[in-house]
Amino acid sequence: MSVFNSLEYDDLISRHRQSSDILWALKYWHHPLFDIKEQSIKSTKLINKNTQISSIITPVHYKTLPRNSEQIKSDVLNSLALKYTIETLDNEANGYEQAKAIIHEMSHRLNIRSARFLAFVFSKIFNQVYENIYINRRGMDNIYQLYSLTPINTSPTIPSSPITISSTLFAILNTFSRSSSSINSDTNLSSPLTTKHYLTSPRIIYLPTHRSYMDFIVLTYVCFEYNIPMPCIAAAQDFLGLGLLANLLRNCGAFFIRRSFRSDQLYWTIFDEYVKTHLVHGDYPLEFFIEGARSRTLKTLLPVRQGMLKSCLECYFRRQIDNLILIPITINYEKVLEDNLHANELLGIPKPKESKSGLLKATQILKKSFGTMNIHFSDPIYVHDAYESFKKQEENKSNNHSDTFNRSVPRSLQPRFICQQDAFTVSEQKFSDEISYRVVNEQQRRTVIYPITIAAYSLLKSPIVTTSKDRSILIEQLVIDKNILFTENTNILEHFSSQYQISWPVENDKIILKDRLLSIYSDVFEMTRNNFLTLKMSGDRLADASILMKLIMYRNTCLHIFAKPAYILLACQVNSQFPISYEQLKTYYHFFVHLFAYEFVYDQFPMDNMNDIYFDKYLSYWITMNYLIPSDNSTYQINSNFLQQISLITSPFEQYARAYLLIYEQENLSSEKNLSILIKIYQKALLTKLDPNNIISILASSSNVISNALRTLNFTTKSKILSELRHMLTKIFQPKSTHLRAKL
Amino acid sequence: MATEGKGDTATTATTTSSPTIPLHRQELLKWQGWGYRDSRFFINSNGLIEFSGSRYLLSGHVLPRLKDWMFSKLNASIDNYSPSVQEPNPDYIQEPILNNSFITDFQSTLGSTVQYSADMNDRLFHGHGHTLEEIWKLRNGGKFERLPDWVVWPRSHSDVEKIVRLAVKHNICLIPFGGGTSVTWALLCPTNEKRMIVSVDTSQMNKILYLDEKNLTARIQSGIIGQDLERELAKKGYCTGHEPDSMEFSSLGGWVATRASGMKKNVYGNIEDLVVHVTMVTAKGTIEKSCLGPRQSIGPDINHVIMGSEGTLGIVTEVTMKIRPLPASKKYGSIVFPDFESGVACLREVARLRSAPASIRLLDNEQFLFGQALSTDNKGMLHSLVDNMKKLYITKIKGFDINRMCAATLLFEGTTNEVNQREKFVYDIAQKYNGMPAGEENGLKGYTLTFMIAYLRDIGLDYRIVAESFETSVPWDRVIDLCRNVKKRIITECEKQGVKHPPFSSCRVTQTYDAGACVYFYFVMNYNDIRQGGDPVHIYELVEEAARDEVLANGGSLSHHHGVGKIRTKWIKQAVSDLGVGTMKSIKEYLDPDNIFGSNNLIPESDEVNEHLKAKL
Repeated sequence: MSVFNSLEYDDLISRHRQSSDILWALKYWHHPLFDIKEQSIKSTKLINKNTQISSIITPVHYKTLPRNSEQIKSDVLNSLALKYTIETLDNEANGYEQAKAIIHEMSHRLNIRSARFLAFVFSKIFNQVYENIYINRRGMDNIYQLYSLTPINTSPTIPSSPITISSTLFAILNTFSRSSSSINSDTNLSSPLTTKHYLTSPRIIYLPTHRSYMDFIVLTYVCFEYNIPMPCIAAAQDFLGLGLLANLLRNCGAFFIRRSFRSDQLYWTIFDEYVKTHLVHGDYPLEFFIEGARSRTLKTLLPVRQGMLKSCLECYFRRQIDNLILIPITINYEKVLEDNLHANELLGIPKPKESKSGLLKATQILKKSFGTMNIHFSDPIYVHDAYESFKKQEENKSNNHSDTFNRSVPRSLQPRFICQQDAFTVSEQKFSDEISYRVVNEQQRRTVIYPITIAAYSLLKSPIVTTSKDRSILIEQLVIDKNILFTENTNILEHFSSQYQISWPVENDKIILKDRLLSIYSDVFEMTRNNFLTLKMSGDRLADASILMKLIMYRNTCLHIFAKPAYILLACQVNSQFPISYEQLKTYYHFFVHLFAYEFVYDQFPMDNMNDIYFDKYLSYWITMNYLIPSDNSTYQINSNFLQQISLITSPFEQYARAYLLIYEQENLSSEKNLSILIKIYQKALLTKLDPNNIISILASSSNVISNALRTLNFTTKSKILSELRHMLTKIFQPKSTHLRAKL
Repeated sequence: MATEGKGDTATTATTTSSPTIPLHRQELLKWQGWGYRDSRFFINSNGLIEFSGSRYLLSGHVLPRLKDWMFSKLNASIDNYSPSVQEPNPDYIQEPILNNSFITDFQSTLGSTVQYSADMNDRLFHGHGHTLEEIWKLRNGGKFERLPDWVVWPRSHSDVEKIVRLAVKHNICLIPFGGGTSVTWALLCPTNEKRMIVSVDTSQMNKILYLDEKNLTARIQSGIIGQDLERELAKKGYCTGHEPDSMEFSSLGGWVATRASGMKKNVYGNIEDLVVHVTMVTAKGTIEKSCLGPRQSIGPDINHVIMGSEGTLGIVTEVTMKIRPLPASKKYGSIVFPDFESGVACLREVARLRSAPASIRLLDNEQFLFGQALSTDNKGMLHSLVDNMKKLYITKIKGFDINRMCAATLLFEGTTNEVNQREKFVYDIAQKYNGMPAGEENGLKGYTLTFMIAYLRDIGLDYRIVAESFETSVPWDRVIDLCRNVKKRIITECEKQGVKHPPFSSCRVTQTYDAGACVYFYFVMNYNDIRQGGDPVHIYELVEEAARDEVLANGGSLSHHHGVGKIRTKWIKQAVSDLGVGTMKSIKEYLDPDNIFGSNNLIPESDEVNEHLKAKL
C-alpha cells in the first residue's frame, strides 16, 4: 500500500523481522533524563537524610528520580492534600487505612523488567498479526527533542542499531543488578547542555485515540522501541477482572481508576494527588484516553475524561510545573482487533466481562491478519502557549468589568496543598474544555482512510440491503466512489480536515485492493462471480446486523470529514423539487449541526445562536463543483446530473438523521432520568423491531446512536423541545419515509 | 509657616558632613552607566578583564576567568565591541519648556539661597534611572522624549516648602530626585507633560540634624545617601543597619518613597521598621504625625501613606530613624548545598526557627558558577591544589554535582557571643540539609561582589550583552517552583524571540521572612545574531514582561523593594484590586488635585483615559 513512505514513516515490523525478538527485548534501555545507577552509596545516604527531615517544603532530590511505584505511593499517602482531606472528612482512624487500600488498588508498578517481557511477547504477536506498524518520524523527533535527545533523522542508527550480543549482555546485567557501573548516557544527549536541561524535565501527556484494547500496549511498546520513558496509563477499573494480565498491565505502567467518583472526596483526593505527583516530579509521562472509553463506533468521541485532564492542568495553573506538553496520538487500525465485539456491543449483545478465558479466546484472533497500523504522533501542544493565547483572545472578546462583590479567588491566593474540585476559575474551565476539544480535533486530523472505509461507504449507499444486488459491489465501483469521495473533493476536505491520509493501492490496482479486502475482512466479505465483493450474509438476524454494523463502524472513521459540507447537500437533496433559499439552507445547516452535536465531533462544540463561519465556504465549494446550481434571488438547487455523487456523499448522514427520527418517534417509553438506563430501555424497544436488512433500523438500534440522540434532546431542551425536533425531521424526511414504509 | 525655622536651627545644631556626591553629579559619577567614573571593568593590555580605580576591594585587580566565562557561557566575542558614545548628543536634548513667571518668582524669592540649573548635562542626569532601557538610550547619545527643564537643589525643609508653594502657584510639575538609582522608570518624565518640569534634587539636604542617644533615634534630612549616613553615624558609634545594595548612591528619601529593603533587615528591619517619623511636603502643605511614640493606634498609618508613594504625593524632607550601636562582632560565612532545593529548605528551616543571621542569601547553581568566574588573580600552585582537593572532596566524596550545587552566603552581626552561637546554630541546621560550611572568605567575597554586579552590566553592554535584574517576594511553598519556572520562562521566551545564544538566567533568594522569601532574578542575554531586524531592547522588554507575568502567575509579588514606578503600572490593578487603585487615586486627588507631583508613577494613567473615552462613546 502506498502513502507511508519510509522517509516520513518508520516501520517497526519490517525492522523487527530482521532481528531477534529476544535480543531486542533485552536491549539496552535507559531513561534519558535520570540515571538510576548513578546513585552511589554516599548519595543514597544523602537522599535518605533528605527524606527523613520533616519540613513544610520537602525538597525533591534530583537523585531520587525516577521514583519507583512504592515511593510514589508513599508520596501520595504522605501528601498534605490527603492529610487535609482526611482531617476534613473527620474519619482519621479509618481514613488512612481506606486511603492505603485505595492507593494499593490504583497504583501502577511500572518496571523495566515487565516491560521487557511485554515487549518480547508483543513483538512476537505484532510480527504475526500486523503487516506494518508505521510511526511518523516527525512525531518521534519532536519527542526526542523534548528529551534533548538527538533526533532520529540525524542519526538513524539509534533505533535501528543492530543489537549486538555484548550490548545485550550489558543490558541483562543492568536489568538484574541495580548497582552496576555508571553508563555514559551523554552520548544520547545533544550537547551542549544548558541550564534548561537541569531545570525541568518535560511534562508530557500522551493522548491517544481509543479504539481497541491494543491501545494500552502500543504506546508502551513504541516507547520501549525508541528508548524514551514509558508512560503511566490511566485505565478503567474494569480491567482488574483480567487477573494476572491486569497485573502485567500494572507492571507496565497501567493504573486503575474507578469509573465515577466525583462524590467520593477521599478517592478523588487520592486520584488527584496520584496524577499530580507524576507530573510535579516529572519522572514519568502520563497517558490517558481523552475520549474516556473505547469508541465502539470507531468514531471520535467527544472528550469526557475531564477529571484527569483537569488534574493535569491544575498542576500548571498552580505552577507546580512550568509547562505541560500534550501530545495527541492517532492510532489507526486497518482492522480493529475486537471489531466483532464492538459491533455486538452496539447492538446490545452484552460484552463479555474482561476475563482470562475471554482473552484466551482472543488468541484465536491472533492467527488472522490485521493489516497495517499507523501511529501518528501530532505536534506537541504546549499548554502554556495555548493558555496565553487563550487569555489574549478572551481579553479581546469582552472587557467585562469584574463584579467587585462576586470575586473569584485567584490562584495565587488559593492554598496549593488542598484538593478542591471546584478550584477552577471560569476561564480555566473554559480553557480546559477548549483544549480537550483541540486534542480530539488534532486526533481526527490524522485519520487514515483504509479501503474498507470506502467499501463500506459504497456498500451502504442505499439504506436497504435486501437483494443480493445491494449486498455486493463491483471492485471498479469502489475505485469510482473513492474518486468521488476523496479525489474530487480534496478541496472541501481541506477546509474541515486539512490532513488525512488515504491508504490505497498504487494506481488503483484492483487485484491488490480485492485481495486485501478479502484477506483482512474474511468475516465480512466473500467473492462472488468475477469482481463482485459480496457481504457474507448468513440469514441469522443478529449476525447479519452485526456484519452491517461492522461496515457502519468502518464507514464512521471518515464521516467527520464530510459532516458539515454534506449537511448542505443533504438539505438541498431533501428539498430537491424546489430551489432552496440561502437563509433556509443555513437554517437547515445549523439544524443538522446541532442535531448531530454528539454524533460527530466538529472543530468546536456547537453553541446556541452559532453562526458557522465555514458555511459559506462549503456552499461556494459545492457551487464551483457544480453539484449545486445557484439561481437568481439567491436560491439553490441540486444539479440532477450529479445526483449519484451527491447521494453517495449524503447517504450516511441521511441514514443517521432517519435513525434519529426513528428513535424520536418512540412513544414516551419511560420517565427514567438516568441516561444509561434510558438507553437500555430504548434499545430494547428498538431491537424488537430490528430489520437486519435496513441500515436505518440497525443504526437506530445502536446504543451509541440512541445515546447521542437522547443527549441531543437534553442539550437542546432549553431552545428546542422534542416535538419541535421531531417535527422538523418529519418535515424533512417523512414524505420519503412513509413511501419507504409502504414499500416495506 | 510653623515649620519654617526648623531646618535652620537643626542645621546649626549638628556637624556638617562632607557629602560624597557633588552638586553636579556627572563630575563624579558616570553619566551613561553605573557608579563612579573611575571605577569600571575593562579589558586590559593582557586581554583580561580588570577593575579600575581604588574604591573597592576589587579595584586594580584582574579577574582572569571572567572573560572566558563571558565568551564561553554567553558566546560573546571581542570583535563585537559596541562602546558607548563619549558625550551626550546635544541634538537629542530638547529645548526646555520654561515658565517665565515661575522663574522670575523663583529668582526673586529663592534665587540667592537655592541653587538651580538649566544645564543640559544636569537635566539629562536627572531625567533617568538605571534600567536597561534608560542606560541603552544614554549610551546611544541620550535621546529622551522629555527631560526635566530645570534642576533645583534645596538645602532644607523650608526650601522645599517654598519651592512647592511656588510650583503650586505657577502650575509646575515637580519630580523629586534622591539618589537616581531607580530601576522602575520612576524618574522618567511623562512624555505628555506640557508644563515645565522641575527636578528637585535633595542631595544638598544631607545632614544628620541630631542624634537622640536616649531613644536611639536620629533626625536626618532625606537627601543623605546611604554611605554618608553610615559613615557619619559610625563616627559616633552608631549605625542604622539599613544597607540596600545601592547604598553607595541611594538616598534616605528614596528609600522611604519606594519602601526599600536592606540586606541586614533580619537584625535591623526594613525601612518601614526603621522609620519612626517622617515629614513630607505635599502640594497642600506639610504632612507629618505629631508624636514619636514607637507604635500608635490612630487609624491607618499616615507614615504608610508616605512610604511607597514614589514621588506622587510630595517630597520627603526629614526622617526620624532608629539607630543602633555598632555591632561588636561581624562575621561572614558560606555554605554549599548539593542542590538549590536543599538550600531553600534550609533557609526555610532557618526562618522557621527565627534564627536567621543578619543576612542570608542563597545563590543558585548558575550564580554559584558565575561567582567562581569572578575570582581575582590566579593564585599560587598550592592554592589551586587546595582548591582542587576541595573540589574533589565535594564532588567525589560528598556526591555533589557541579551542575547542581549552590551556595549560601551569610553575615552575622552582634556581640561576639551572639555571633558565635548563631553561627553554630545555622551551620547545624545546614548540615541537616546536606549543606557544608565553605569558609568565611567565600562569604566576604560574595558580599563585596554585591556592589560590583551593577558595574558588570556596563562591560557587558560594551560587548553586546544586555543584563537586568528584578525581584519579587513569594510564600515559602512556592519559592522553588517560582525560581525554576521563571528561569525557564526566560530561556524559552528568549528562544521564542529568536535569541540565538542561550541566556544566563539565574536567581537568588536574598531575604527570608516568616511567611516567605525575597527572590532576585538576573537575566543576561547576548543579542548577537538575533532575528533579522530584531531590536534587542524590545526583545529584552518582551522577555522581562513574560518573566514578570510568570512571577505573578506563580504567586510572586509585583515587587519586593524596587517599587512600581512606571514600568509595572500595568499590573498594579491585578496586584491591589480595582478598589485598591481607587483608594490610592483618591488620596492622590486629595493631596495633589493639580497633579503638581506629576511623575505618573504607581497609578496607571492610561486607564482613566480609556474609561473617559468609553464614557464618551
